[in-house]
Amino acid sequence: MTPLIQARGVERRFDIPPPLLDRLRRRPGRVLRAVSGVDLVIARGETLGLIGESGCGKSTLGRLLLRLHAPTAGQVIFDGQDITALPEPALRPLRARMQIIFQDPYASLNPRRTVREILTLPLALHERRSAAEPRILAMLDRVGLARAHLDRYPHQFSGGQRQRIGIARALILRPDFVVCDEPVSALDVSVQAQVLALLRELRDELGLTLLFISHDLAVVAHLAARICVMYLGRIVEEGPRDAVLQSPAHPYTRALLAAVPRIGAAPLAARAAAGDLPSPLAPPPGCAFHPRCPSAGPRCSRQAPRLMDLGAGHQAACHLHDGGVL
Amino acid sequence: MNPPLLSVRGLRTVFPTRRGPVVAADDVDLEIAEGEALGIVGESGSGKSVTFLSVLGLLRPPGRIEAGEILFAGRDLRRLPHAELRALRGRQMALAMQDALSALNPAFTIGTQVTETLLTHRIAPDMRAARAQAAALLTRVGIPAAAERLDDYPHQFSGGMRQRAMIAISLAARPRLLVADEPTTALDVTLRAQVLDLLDTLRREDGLALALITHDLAVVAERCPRVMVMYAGQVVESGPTEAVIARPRHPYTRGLLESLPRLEDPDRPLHPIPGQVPDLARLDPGCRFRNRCGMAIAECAAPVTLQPAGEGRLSRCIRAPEMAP
Ligand SMILES: Nc1ncnc2c1ncn2[C@@H]1O[C@H](COP(=O)(O)OP(=O)(O)OP(=O)(O)O)[C@@H](O)[C@H]1O
Ligand SMILES: Nc1ncnc2c1ncn2[C@@H]1O[C@H](COP(=O)(O)OP(=O)(O)OP(=O)(O)O)[C@@H](O)[C@H]1O
Ligand code: SF4
Ligand code: SF4
Ligand SMILES: [Mg+2]
Ligand SMILES: [Mg+2]
Repeated sequence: MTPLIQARGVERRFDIPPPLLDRLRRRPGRVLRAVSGVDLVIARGETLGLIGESGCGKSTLGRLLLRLHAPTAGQVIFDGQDITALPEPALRPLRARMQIIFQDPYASLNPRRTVREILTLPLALHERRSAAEPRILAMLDRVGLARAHLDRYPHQFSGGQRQRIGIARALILRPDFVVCDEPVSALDVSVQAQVLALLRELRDELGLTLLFISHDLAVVAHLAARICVMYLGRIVEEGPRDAVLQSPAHPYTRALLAAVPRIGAAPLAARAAAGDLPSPLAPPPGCAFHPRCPSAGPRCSRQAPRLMDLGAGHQAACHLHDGGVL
Repeated sequence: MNPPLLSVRGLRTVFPTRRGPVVAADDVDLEIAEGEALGIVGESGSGKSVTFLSVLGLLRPPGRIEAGEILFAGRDLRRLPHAELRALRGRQMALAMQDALSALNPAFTIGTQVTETLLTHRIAPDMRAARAQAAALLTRVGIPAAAERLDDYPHQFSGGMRQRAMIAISLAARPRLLVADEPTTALDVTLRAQVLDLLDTLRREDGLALALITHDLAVVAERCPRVMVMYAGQVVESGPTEAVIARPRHPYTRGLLESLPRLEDPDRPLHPIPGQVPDLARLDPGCRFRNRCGMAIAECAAPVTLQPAGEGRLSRCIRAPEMAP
């Protein structure tokens, strides 16, 4: 399959301004590396699931792929074209083909615009206005909203309906690639299932390529063919869904899977990964997971592991798969 | 069996609104024994928080308890003199809002916030003792080098540490009942598992009674021997968690189970519950799940009460017997 979107060694740093007192003393600010050295390929029509703890860089990576953030190093390639340094006017026709669905549809919908206006705006930016109405109606119907909803405002809808509006807005331009950033995390279970079913149907119908970000592993597993696990800005494991779920190769993935509550399985005693996600401002040297890793050895604090190929498209960045931890 | 530590009968909590009264908790019965964990699940707005805010006496006006009996350690909280009630509520029952960032006061150090509780409830005689106890408490909830971090402000703690500090504060007065109200968007799985492990330990070792309010049935399946399912202000089903999950006796519970993606079987098709929760200000007397229920019949338009549905189980569905295998 041909790649639709590709990242090569992508990095994103943020300059953190120093606290006021330090600023007066003319001390420099610090640099936060939200995403480091990420290589990623998503094939056309594929859904890649992205998981990892809060703050590990999932949203930042999603935004980098959409060029909503400019990478501070590396390249982003969309449909064969290097878009890393593309100026905004040249990017614009591509923007229509790359969309995002957010976690909180309420925060991402303009409260002063009706559904009609919300859905017309992307069309108006990219197409002629006269073609808009029939497409809006078709889209509205497709996401399960009624014509009567067209002239209402976001606050007049339930959370699930608002997410349907968010989906309609993202899909109205018939994009190729959609980043779904925690799209069902704010929804109730019963509504979440409705929205997941809708996303799945639309993906299959429109042949969408998705990056599906969620902290809920069960939700990711339900949609994604491949799963990518991030820790402190880096990809630590990636592979076909069942390989990652059934034979996780990275100790962090194992800890993550063990922490997921399951229905109909006996609880495992004291299996939660100890400790917290370290500060991204001061990542531990070597393997960033070593302070929490039950398998860590002396090599782990000295040398950063490389992403190793384990066969069948399964990769993990851990010394255990590259000569051991000693 | 011991008499339950907390026993609620016929609780009715009402909010007057512009659109008419909203009965946010309607005829709620529940029991929690010492050392027991009750899981409370249900859609957003189903009355989970209102029920326990009513129990803890933390309901804010215009919300008002209209009816019901709240027995805690054999005493009727609704009849207790005000001062006694306050002491009991501050000391023996506590609420842990798991949204730690908003629950901690950013202007005070972690140490101040823990010692304050210890001093107000006279658990520590003076500041020195309070600081020592605060450090011990923070150590207990898993904060490394706690004594050295007493003078840190909340923003100097990581998310996980704030979470645990929050639990330490709610446990400072050594309550017998802890109500843990999870935020809608769950925490990180690892962090959350750590917090739940801690609550499990306190329950087993100290006999803490736990009410765990959550959206996540899987968490209840793992952590709570008993579960109560709420819908539109009412308890619709309750009983031993294992039995309820294996053989639900209410169509809403069954719908929830069929809506849930499962990690152990990711390709299992989901069957979402169609439709939406009814508007609580516009209810008729019939079954509240009727507009979404695949089993609804004409009789469901009449009031439905919570009825026994097998060993230790209750269901608010007239067709519950037909759901038995
Ligand atoms: N604009 C920004 N300026 C400074 N730091 C940022 C910015 N955006 C993100 N960060 C930091 O980058 C890191 C990664 O953030 P990101 O939002 O990508 O994480 P995430 O994995 O999406 O987390 P969550 O699960 O909480 O959404 C965090 O430490 C965050 O504080
Ligand atoms: N201050 C208030 N005024 C009017 N109605 C209120 C007020 N507080 C709560 N309610 C009503 O009470 C109902 C129950 O609210 P509650 O907070 O108990 O829900 P919940 O089950 O805890 O939901 P969530 O899972 O979102 O926390 C809601 O539907 C809401 O309409
Ligand atoms: S490299 Fe070492 S510390 Fe890192 S995950 Fe592997 S064993 Fe653990
Ligand atoms: S009482 Fe009727 S409508 Fe209500 S849950 Fe039972 S079958 Fe469905
Ligand atoms: Mg994010
Ligand atoms: Mg609540």
